[in-house]
Amino acid sequence: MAVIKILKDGETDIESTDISKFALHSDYKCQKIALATYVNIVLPDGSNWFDGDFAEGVINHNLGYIPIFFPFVEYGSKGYEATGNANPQIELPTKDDPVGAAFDIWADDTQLHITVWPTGLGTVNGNQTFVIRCFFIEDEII
Amino acid sequence: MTAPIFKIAKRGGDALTDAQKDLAFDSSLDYMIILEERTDTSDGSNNLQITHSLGYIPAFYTFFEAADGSWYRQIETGLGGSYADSTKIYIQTDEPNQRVRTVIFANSQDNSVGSGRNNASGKLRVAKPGYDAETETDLRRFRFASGGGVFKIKENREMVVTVNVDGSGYSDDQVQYAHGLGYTPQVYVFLGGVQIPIFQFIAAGMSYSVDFTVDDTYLTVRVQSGEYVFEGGEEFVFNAQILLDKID
Repeated sequence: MAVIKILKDGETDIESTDISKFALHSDYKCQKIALATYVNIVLPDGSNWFDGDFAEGVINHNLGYIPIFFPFVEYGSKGYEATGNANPQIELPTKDDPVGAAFDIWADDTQLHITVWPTGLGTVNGNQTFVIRCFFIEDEII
Repeated sequence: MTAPIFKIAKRGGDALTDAQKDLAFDSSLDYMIILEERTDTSDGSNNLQITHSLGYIPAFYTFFEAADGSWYRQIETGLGGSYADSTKIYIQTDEPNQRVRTVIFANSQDNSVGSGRNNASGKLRVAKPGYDAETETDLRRFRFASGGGVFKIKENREMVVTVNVDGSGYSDDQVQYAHGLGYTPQVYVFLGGVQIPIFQFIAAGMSYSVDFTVDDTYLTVRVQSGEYVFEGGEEFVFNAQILLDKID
């Protein structure tokens, strides 16, 4: 059976058994992007943790299985790292005590679900918009 | 004219009939193109800044080295966390002078098609529709480029941690998997099957932690809890994708 192998730049040993040296090796799947898209979520002015406030959003991927996914949270001019259940916590404008935003991000076989809620003792000052960007990888995690 | 599609099946497969997700490669899809993989050390105030100068916000991925030499990802980051802007990546580590492995992708976080960078390399390049692989220089205009490569998948693995509560009401349980690579691989770990959503748990003022570490022998997933958070017997299902690409 033929094997197709392509080395990364700087690598010279096409017979290497260290697969990390290859850009592509036909014995293994590359991580392919099935979909890259986003959703905006607004945490309203006046939100606070004590009242149990939160905001939700979904992204439809419709892959029919739970995929690997790479989420990022854009706020201001920054793109925060998140992955799977990781929760970036972002400091927000406040009316009183410090307040942040925390995230829960998870997928089922058709959608990515995002929940954002205020953390800390403060009250959110002004509507706060988050852009949840996600790369869905064409491979099921389960 | 429709662009030709280049597919590569895995050994024993059939490129003409295999499902797209089972193929080793398919030129009709985009890839997370690796621009740079690097290891840096944070300063004495737990801060690390990496200048990328790309002019856009790139996708990136970080791992942190633990005191025992294994590597982990922060499941939950503090205020600020790790983020990128159009010139730098800003990383806050748990410890001063801590090593961080960062993968910077050429893809922008919004996966937009841009121009102006001269970073395309590699003998196999597949341009996005409407662009010429032989003349384009900005990796954002490529679906694939072999210079830095893309992540390659070794295997997916489900690992289940069952909570055992001690006499004082605390728990600390872990499961290990020998990945067999002989080096520390990149790995994605997702948590599923939690009986109580994490945000409700935190809002209730209760505490538990979930984390994972990987070294050159094992992938380890772990669940720890405070006093009487769990009754015992709860199952945490971790789903991991182990890659062939190295952290260390």
